[in-house]
Amino acid sequence: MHEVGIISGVLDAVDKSVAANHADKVYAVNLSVGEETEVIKDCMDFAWEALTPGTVCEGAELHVNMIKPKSVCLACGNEFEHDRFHNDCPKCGSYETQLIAGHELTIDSIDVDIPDDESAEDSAEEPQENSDANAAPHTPDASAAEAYTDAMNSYADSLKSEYRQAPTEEEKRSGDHEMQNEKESQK
Amino acid sequence: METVDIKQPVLQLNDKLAKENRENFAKHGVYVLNILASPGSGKTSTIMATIDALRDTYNIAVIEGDIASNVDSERIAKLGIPAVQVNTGGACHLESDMIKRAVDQLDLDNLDLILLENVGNLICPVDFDLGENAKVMILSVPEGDDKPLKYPGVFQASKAVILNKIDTLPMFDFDQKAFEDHVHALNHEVPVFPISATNGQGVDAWADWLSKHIEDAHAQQGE
Ligand SMILES: Nc1nc2c(ncn2[C@@H]2O[C@H](COP(=O)(O)OP(=O)(O)OP(=O)(O)O)[C@@H](O)[C@H]2O)c(=O)[nH]1
Ligand SMILES: [Mg+2]
Ligand SMILES: [Zn+2]
Ligand SMILES: [Zn+2]
Repeated sequence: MHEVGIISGVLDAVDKSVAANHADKVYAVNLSVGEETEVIKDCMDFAWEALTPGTVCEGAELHVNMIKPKSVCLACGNEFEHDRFHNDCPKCGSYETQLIAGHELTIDSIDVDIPDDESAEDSAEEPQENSDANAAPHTPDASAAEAYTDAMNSYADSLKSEYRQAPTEEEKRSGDHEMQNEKESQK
Repeated sequence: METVDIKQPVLQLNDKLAKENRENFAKHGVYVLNILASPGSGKTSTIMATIDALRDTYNIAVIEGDIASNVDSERIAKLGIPAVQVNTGGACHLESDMIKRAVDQLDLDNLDLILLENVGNLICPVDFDLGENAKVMILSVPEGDDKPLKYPGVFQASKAVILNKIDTLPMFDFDQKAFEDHVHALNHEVPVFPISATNGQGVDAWADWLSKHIEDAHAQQGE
């Protein structure tokens, strides 16, 4: 059941993207999962239900796009879809084939609301009085962030061994670094 | 509503650290084997038999992944082989950051081979690259010859398959030919090594295969 770990990684990435894009409500998270991975869709759904309450993804849908295995024959160039058990070329019978699809495990995109005032100017100005009532509950305020952190921490604690320690400063920095680049390219 | 592209591998951090591990191993000319199998199939016994066969030729260390105990690493340490225990604290597989920390406790300069015992599980460990040179899977006779049909992923990901506990073949209706056919349908050219880790039968052929791969890794480092 590493689906729980996978979903917690997904939530982490979504959280960063939501912050980088100043989005508020998340409607859906779209993943691509190859059928040749060991990921089971039902377990993903279960993990989603278990982990999203209290996070930015609370109430959002998880869309898992399962991708059929596809290979190319190195002998005759034929491209063909197949199941997990047969990857020999149906045209020439060769076993010299290479998987070109079916091993994905990717966060494709998220469907979100980006409030107009946020996209117009980046500054975190005081929201107008009587601002849209429906925007308020989803604004990532301090208590939501705290609830999210708590949920993640208690999950992490349950998995963490005595051996594992928090990421080193170096790991943190390199992880942040990648997010930074992404943020920049989106601007 | 708008769609924001993310296009990011879910296991990005794991894959990144796995790549760093792999570069570190290559730099030191250490060959690393990621051993996958069910609980009780004989992973630790096979590691001990492999040590027995190769310890005069190579400097070996073991990393033992286990949910909680350190029983296995103690078995290895008794042989006078460096053994690092990694407890996953309930997680069903090893991840590359755990290996990175475990490796910090080993003297890579003076090692040729690291045997890595993953958590007993035929499913989850397959998706997690640790930076190893090769995954090998062990199936034991009592588990049945139909396992490739139920767990295709692990058989496809492996560079060699060990069939352990062949001393028990007379006790079970295990069809060795059917097993090898199932394996080869999934992974056409993968070698299958029938062994008994406890009485040593077949271990030489397995050890020869492994030696050849260690030598290849050494040769590549020399280039
Ligand atoms: N008859 C026979 N028994 C074996 C063989 N290999 C291992 N065993 C026995 O199988 C049991 C489990 O062996 P281990 O080597 O501890 O198996 P493991 O896969 O490391 O087990 P876990 O780490 O607990 O998942 C022990 O009682 C071994 O003595 C073999 O080749 N033949
Ligand atoms: Mg063991
Ligand atoms: Zn699992
Ligand atoms: Zn063909």
